Amino acid sequence: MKTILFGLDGATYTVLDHMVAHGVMPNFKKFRDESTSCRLRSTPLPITPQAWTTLATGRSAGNHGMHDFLRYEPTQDGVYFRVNDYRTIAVETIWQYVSDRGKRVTVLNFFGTAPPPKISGHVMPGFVPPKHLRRSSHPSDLFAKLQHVDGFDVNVLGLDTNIEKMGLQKLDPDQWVEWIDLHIRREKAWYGILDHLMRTEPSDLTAIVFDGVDKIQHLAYRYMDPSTIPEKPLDWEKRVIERCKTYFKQVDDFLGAVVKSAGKWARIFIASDHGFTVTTEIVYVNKFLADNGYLTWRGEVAEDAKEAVFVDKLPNLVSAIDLKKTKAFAMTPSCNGIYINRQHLTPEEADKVRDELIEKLYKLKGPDGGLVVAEIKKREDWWPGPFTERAPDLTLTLRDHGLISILNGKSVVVPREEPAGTHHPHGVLLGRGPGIVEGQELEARDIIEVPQLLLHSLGLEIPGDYEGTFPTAFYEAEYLASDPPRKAEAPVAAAAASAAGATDEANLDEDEEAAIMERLRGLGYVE
Amino acid sequence: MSAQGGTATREGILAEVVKVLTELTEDWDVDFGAGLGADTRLVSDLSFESIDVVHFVTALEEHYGRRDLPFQDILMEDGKYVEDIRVGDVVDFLAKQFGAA
Repeated sequence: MKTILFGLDGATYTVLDHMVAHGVMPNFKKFRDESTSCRLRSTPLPITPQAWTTLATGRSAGNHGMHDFLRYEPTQDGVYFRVNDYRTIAVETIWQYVSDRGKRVTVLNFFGTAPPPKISGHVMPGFVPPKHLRRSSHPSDLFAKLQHVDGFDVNVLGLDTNIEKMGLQKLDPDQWVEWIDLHIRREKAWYGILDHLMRTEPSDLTAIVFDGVDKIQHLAYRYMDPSTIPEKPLDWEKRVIERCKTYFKQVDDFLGAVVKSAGKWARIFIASDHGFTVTTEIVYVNKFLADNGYLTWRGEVAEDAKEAVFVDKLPNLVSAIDLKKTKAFAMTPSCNGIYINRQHLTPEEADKVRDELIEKLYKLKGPDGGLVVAEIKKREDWWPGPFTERAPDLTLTLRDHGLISILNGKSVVVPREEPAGTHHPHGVLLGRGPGIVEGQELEARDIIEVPQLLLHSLGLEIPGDYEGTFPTAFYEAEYLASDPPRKAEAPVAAAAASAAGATDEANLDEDEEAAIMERLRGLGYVE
Repeated sequence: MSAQGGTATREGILAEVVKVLTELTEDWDVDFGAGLGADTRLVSDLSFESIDVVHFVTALEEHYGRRDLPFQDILMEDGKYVEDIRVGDVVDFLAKQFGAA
């Protein structure tokens, strides 16, 4: 059955329900009333690369290898960074799997889909700068086809990291509305592509991510969470609140249009990669390491004054740390973790440093006297598999779920002047369509199970190496008895999948579709 | 894909790198003046930012079907990232990797 994944990066019911309550999202309300919904448990590190890749592979990060935006490799006398991309993913994606079975796939604005897989359908990746977006899209003539689509503008579609960083630090009040409006324009441009392709070259599986949800919430979460919205907002804050509503209203319009365009005999799943919450302090982890003798700066290093968590240029941070005199360091805020500098330590010394850090971090207190670190994850416990070592030795969950800062700070823990938004491990998952229970709310399900919902909906077998279990409670028992999820016993090798042959698979799909329609007819879903 | 297995020439690699670079920068609003060549500098002549270097490396890896080329050898010096790099430096690096004549 035609299946759509409507991705909302970082969406949380806290904000969506608030928008519904204020009449901003009538289509989402209707969708939820007609769907099965639940909280979505994200990956152990709830960030875009790891979580969306898990959704796209059915595998945990220790197996798919996409842990963070970047990965670092120690060199003789420094650190070399690699930017993770589609080639980082060590297992087959559902995009390729579905395509290899003779179905067409459209994938829009997902991180880690460049260089694009040569699937049957369309790929336009997210997180790619305008200058590289055409080359990073598939097929090669996709851009030419889209030139006349309303709102198509590569400079809006592409990601300018210098602009995006603005949302992750203090921003002047007169810049907020302009920054939010950029994301309103960007989402409109992505939706224009989605709408065009759904009408002119519809796919069996259509997937899009609207990532402005995440970006706007990082900056303006306190104006969307009912627990933090100011009672008497200033004039500029009122404008920000209205623009946030405008953003979500537009997303809601897109959802309404997609539901209408998809028709009654399609299934639509809404999923986020993680949720959101409020962060009230900044933890300068490298400052903690330096204060405790595990990290040595090269000379004087300026203290952060912008409530920032990252450096403008990562090599500048590497240059600022004397790695030969450093036992542990944090390199990216997104990984929320600490690497032990194993290149300059024996295995025994490294283990000792790690144990010491765990003990000291659990004792770290904020200015209020409260313990700051809620949980410390060891990589071998949480990311087992061939790519365990891509995770930091220790991953921190802070008490407010904040991302660590890798900068130097005036203190290790600094209260923010105003709260900001940060990732929370609980996102959203909803499904609507034939056979899915209407108006049902379930206990939380894992993001790793979402691809099983997608493949079953498409009438495809679920590979045997997919982790997690099929969320049967989404479906009416009677329907599922007639169309049970089929999970392979043994892992399906990518090579075997590719060798299956598209023509035979396409014929099989037609047979399968006919069988499904027959089942639906028997259950009264189709006349 | 070509220029591997010890049969490549430096001139051949230069032509391929220029081709990859030309395709990479096709949509850019940059005046290349005399055109791309061994003396072209990525940052000062082509206004490369660090993310452009990443895409250039990716394009070369895709072109040669290799992900094991140690680009850090030319992108880093004494533990620090270099400020700029010549096309000719990239060609020399690839020629060394491919055992070119």
